Amino acid sequence: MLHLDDNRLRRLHDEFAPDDRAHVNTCAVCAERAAAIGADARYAAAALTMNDSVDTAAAHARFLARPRVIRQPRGRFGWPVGLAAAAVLAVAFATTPLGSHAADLLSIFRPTTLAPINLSTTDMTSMSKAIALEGYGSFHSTTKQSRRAVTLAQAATLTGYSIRVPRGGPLVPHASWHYQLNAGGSSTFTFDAKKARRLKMPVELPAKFDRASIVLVAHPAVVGFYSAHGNDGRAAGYGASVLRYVEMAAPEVRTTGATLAELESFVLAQPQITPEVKAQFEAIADPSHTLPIPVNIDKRTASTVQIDGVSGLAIGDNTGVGAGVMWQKNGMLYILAGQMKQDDLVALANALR
Amino acid sequence: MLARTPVPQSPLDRLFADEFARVVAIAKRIVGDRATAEDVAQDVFARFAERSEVVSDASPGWLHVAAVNTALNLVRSRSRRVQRELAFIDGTRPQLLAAQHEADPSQNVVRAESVREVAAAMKRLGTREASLLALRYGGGLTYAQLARTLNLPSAQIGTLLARAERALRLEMTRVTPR
Repeated sequence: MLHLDDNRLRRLHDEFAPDDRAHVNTCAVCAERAAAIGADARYAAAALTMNDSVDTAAAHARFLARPRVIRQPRGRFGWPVGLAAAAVLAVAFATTPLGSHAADLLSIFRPTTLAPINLSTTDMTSMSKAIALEGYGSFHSTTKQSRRAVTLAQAATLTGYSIRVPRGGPLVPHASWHYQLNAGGSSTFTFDAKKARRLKMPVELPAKFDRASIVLVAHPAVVGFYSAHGNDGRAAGYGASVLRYVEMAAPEVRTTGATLAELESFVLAQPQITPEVKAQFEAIADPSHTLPIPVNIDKRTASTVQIDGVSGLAIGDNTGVGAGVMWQKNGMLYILAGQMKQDDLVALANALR
Repeated sequence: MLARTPVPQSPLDRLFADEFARVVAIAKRIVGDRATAEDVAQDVFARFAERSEVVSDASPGWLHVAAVNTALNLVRSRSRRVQRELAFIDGTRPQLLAAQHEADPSQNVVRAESVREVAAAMKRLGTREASLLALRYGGGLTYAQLARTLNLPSAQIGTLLARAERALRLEMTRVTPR
């Protein structure tokens, strides 16, 4: 006689299975095992049954009133997947190449490496305020908010990028990717000494900064979305993975009227910047080619990983179910993020060809 | 169990209304008290709001797994802050069920356990075992939902659940050296 496995014996406790029940009624071995499994199940149910009343409305009010990390408004720079903050930091803290000190020269910052800047939630909020800069001038954006669905071939043709796709790696069956093209553009911040004086900003604007400008050039980005819904129509969302892949030419920053080094000093002088945060930026070895990536250490961890032969940055979510990796190579910036363990995400990133 | 906010405003609001109580219940099986479980749930939703632009079919599963992992991270931390958060709060004792059969030896043992002791036992379980129990008994997930949420073969859920329940019982009945 074939005995029932533990899976069926346990299910017998919850589900109607007449055949299995009949077997247990006639098999002493299975009856004994079913009794033991049932006793454990009842014990667990008793221990884990609790009063679950919750005031959801009050909780929702609390949720809406939660302190939030202030982010740059989406669209100011038109960057995908939350890179706006990193872009603003890049503008604010990157220094000019040596020798570009004449005020009327165009300073160009084109990052080739990434560096994490560890910030607490409080630091993140303060940093966002410090680099907002609105009180010191005004923004003007030519970035288009165009986002349109494209095929892989269209994305490659329109951008000139050779879009990478996974060749192997830890993806589940029924994988499907679809793509979106985000238009690039530029955003310009122009310093205004008169405005800064009128608003009594905390740091006096150097005279040479008046009418100086920072231009951020964001190139078009191809964003790939991955979902792992099965084809059986039962994909209620449980366990369905969601990934995003971003490929774009590395951003550029240009300045007129002041060098990026001078801008760095100016922003670091803002009262919201703590000495610890300031020290992190000043410790960047090659600031003219390094894109600082702010990492909220209260919620995430950052580590260096090897991807496609270059050093990349992995950012883990302390929920354990999400992570992101980003790396730069040959003038391109790549980001892969989603609901996947960090090791799997790195493996998948390395499988992109 | 799942109370709803009166007028959901957005997909995120609706998700909150649909899933908050479940997320709290899942976390509560691990952290052991409602207040901390609500903090965990608030944190999970806040993180979801920060990181995700679109509420999708996958969102509940993400929230449930995040609740388990966040709660486990919390109780496994040895910081004094966490110890304070785990302090037992009156009024949150579980409504322990009477066992189905008087002959069941678990009955008296279970009655003597507090939520805190359950949480302490859950903390000592493996992540998969604690996840299964929290999602099953806190979230009320079906076998199929457990399989999808935890990326486990459906045919193994019964076996794994039985092992988890056995492990919980052993943890709660073992003599802990002081």
